[in-house]
Amino acid sequence: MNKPRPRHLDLFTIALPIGAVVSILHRITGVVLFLLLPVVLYAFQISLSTTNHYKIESYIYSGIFKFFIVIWVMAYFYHLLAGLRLISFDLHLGTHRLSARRSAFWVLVLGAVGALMIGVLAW
Amino acid sequence: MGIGPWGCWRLDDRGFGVVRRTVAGARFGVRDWLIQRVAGAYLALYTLLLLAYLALHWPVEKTSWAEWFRLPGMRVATLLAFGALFLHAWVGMRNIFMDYVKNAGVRLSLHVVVILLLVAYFVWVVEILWSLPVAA
Repeated sequence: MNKPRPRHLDLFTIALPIGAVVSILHRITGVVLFLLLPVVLYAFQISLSTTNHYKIESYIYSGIFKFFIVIWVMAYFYHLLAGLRLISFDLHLGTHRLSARRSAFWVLVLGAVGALMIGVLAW
Repeated sequence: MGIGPWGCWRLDDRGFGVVRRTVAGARFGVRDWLIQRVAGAYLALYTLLLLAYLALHWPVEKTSWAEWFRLPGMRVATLLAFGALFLHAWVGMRNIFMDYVKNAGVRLSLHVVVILLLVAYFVWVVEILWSLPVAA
């Protein structure tokens, strides 16, 4: 007699609330940060090496390597912002629906602005 | 009988309800949540430290950069930061696998691969930081 109500939860076609966008980007940047770790560690190693790696350094500070470093820094910055938002939720700050929406908005805006600035700084 | 990502309920021989847990099952504990938060907070502070240094010494030349990392306090703080980073990354990746990988065997293998990578990275960081000549 009572058919179950239809549910449509296809995440790829529904209109995601802004908090969901922040959250999935947080997760995606997390994976990117993990996958690019060897690149970052290598750059760190080169930056501290006492021998003169002129050829390696010129390779690192240009081109595809630099591109990945910059991507990593941008992802780190966004991930940090979204993470701060989550920590504030853990501390019960701004958990009201509208406050959360506003903080989500600002995370996205500041994340984009930060990424832009990082890109400008790098190139 | 319900089946969750961590195992399934059933009755054992004596009629008690038990959960049969898969070895790579979900572990929703306060401990991992806390590890991720504390590690994240430490990383945020360390990042501020790094940014402050960069802001004060821009443009940074290589010798002063290496000098700074040679300070014993800086070495330890940096090692802790990387440790925190890898712990934080481990909890994050584990959550992702728990959410998206249903097959226990595949999930376990992924966990092992990630753990091995992170431990290897940590050893690499130790080598990077401690192959520097000691600061005066």
